[in-house]
Amino acid sequence: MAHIALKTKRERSHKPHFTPLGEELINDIQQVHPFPVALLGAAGCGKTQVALEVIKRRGKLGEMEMIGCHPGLDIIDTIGGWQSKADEAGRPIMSWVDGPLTRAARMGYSLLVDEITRLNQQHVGRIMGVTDETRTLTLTENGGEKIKVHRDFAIIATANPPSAGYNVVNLDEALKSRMMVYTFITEPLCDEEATVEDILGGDTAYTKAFMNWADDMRKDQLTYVSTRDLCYLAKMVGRGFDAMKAIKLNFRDKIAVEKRSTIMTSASAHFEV
Amino acid sequence: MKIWKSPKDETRDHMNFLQHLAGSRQVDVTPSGTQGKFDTSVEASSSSLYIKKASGRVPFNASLLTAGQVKFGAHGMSARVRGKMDRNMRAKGSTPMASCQVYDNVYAILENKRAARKAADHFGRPKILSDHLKEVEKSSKEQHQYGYKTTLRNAGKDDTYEVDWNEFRAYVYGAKTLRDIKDPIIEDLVRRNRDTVIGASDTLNPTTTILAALKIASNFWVTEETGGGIGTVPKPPDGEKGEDAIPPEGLTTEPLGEDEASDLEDAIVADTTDDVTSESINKSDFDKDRTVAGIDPLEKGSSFDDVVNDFVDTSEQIKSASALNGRCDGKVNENHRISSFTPSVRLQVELSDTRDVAGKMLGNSGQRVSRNVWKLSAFGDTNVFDKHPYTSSDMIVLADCSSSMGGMWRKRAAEISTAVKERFPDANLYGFRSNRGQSYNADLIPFGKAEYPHCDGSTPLCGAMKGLESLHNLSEASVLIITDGAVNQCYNNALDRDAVDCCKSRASAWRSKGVRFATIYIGYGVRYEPLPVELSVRIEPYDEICSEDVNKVFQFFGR
Repeated sequence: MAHIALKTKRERSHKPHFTPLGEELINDIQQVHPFPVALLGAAGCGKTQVALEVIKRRGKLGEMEMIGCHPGLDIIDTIGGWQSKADEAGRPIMSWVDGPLTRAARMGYSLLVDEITRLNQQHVGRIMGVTDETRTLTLTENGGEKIKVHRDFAIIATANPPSAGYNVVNLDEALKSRMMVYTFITEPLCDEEATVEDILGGDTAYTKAFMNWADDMRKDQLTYVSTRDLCYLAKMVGRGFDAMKAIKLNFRDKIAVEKRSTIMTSASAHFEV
Repeated sequence: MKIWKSPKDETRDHMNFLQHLAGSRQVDVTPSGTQGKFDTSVEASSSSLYIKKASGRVPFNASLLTAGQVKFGAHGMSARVRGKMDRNMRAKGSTPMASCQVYDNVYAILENKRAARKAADHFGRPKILSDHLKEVEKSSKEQHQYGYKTTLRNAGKDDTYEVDWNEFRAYVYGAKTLRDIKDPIIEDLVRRNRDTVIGASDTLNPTTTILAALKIASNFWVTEETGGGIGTVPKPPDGEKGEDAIPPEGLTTEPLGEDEASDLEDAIVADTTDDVTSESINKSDFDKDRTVAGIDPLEKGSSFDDVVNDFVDTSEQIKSASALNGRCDGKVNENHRISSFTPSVRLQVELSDTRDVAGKMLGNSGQRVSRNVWKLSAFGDTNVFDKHPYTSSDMIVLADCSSSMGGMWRKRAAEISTAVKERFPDANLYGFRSNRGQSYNADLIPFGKAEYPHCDGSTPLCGAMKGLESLHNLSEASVLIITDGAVNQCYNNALDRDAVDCCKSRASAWRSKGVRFATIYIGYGVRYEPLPVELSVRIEPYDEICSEDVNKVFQFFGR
């Protein structure tokens, strides 16, 4: 399938297109600012896009801090710590450097906490202090410095969902209770068709082929194609890749071996017309 | 779900693509009996999809036509409607044996045409539909029987009638007019339901075909089956078929008044659609499975059309989620016979070698030194070791103790599990095998270092996995599964569920909770069914455990 109707980069809107559900969620989050928010959904469903859009509409995109959570995260990665620097004479001196949480709390930035369900308890304890009514962050590591949290400081947390069959999230109940919005996302928040069409410069035939291929792939969780993957594939096609090659490079090897030929057969059906 | 042998060209793996679209239903292909490559059809039972297609190599578009017919057919909902219709007819009169056959054939023909239309649109290949229409028309003219000839039998009566559904199909596909139809039953069905048939012939809406089949079957039941028997049809209204209309030979005239028949027919259609709608909205089992699948319940005021469309969109997701709520289970059995075993000298050497390599990162028990280590020398405080995040979560070894694991393979499994326990004393070792009472329930047998449970029974991996959920906090856990092949059929509502699918659904659910998987397959691995694993080690039947295998397993648990 030849892609012929590509718009120039300047002609494209470069705007995320949200579904009515996505727009509603963005408005809801804006309405509860600066209270903490947690969005739980499958990878690539548009949680982070929604979080970024909220911050963008607030005009604060340049003042955003972000923490990518994982079990091995050290306290220095969130709160900050003492680090050695060279003074003017080149001698090593120790100085305190704020971490993203401290910086955001001090300056009134928005903090995007990605994958919060993977956060260790030591970090959770610190976040609880800044999200409850006390709005205080004590830096024991920095001589007990007490920071009064800025009134514009806001946390937007995202995480992958507890899987089907599990009703409990590995998130501290106390932290959960501090979230003013705590919601599960079960469908894409971005209007995939509009986004892909925009990326492809309004090529409706190619967009339809992508959407129908994604529909086939979503018959099975093992071959599920996320919104992010779909957008990446469209971008690759927009950059001149053949759709088959884009799928081979981007998606094929992310999937279990026994399902790869299914993906490629479906891709051939939709794109090699 | 069956995994078919893939061809060399991975862009032409039709059977696995077909099976993927069919979901949990088994695809069963039979030759159609015609030469037409595009003359395909799909019929369904509760657990299988029967595909009639030309034998031998077929063009790619013909395979996609079948794929579309599989993807877009609303056979599951149709089966539910047929079941309710059958019940309502029994409640109102006689057993609807022939009417159910009428329903099946009418639905299959209408649905295959609708699905072909959808397939052409879905794959962006209009030729799929044009070739399909052309070939069915050709096949109808050549009088291929195409497997549509059925014998209608009246329940409780001796009369039977052979019906050539090929004529109905020819009418639906525009290859024949009403005048050309020779079969009196088909002619009568079409004449009395002409608007319904025409309306359903060109639709894309699955509800229309289901309703058409329901109306035609109800009409048949009211006017023929409950009357004087098949062949006892109302006389055609004057001028309906033209002046030269010849009443079919041997048929008698109507037993029911037209108004009476029409009321009864409408009542069956309305009762059936109401039953299906209210069951879909109110049935608590559906709600539970919907919740697990993350789908909102149907709204109270939903119509039959809403219910059918919802079914088409969500049934596979719901079915997959319901697999997680199966009856199978796993319980700890501490009374099972466990025998001790002496690790081979070779394994002891491997262990001493690997300990030094991995021990640089973690202590012998998976601990690491914390930043409070200065307290050890200053205050003599020994509480200065942290669990590394990877080893602080549960480490579980699930070892297959089915009868096929006896002999050498048992020894290999024992050596690996002992190595893990030696290196990570906090690891939990469980053997699993079927419970003697029910083959789908698993016994989980805890065992220790240099031990292995006695091997007997079958391999209920799904039940064992389910049992682990209640025993451990699986969040972030690492699970090593040692087995010699595929899981056994669990016979747990076997019509709907496949044991391998159950395991895959559960494994997929675990993985999204952060559970890490590794598998060790020992033996020939002919029935090898992969789980979504991070590490997969194959040990050939006569190979010893080597340091590479042990290292891989240690790295999986301790990194």
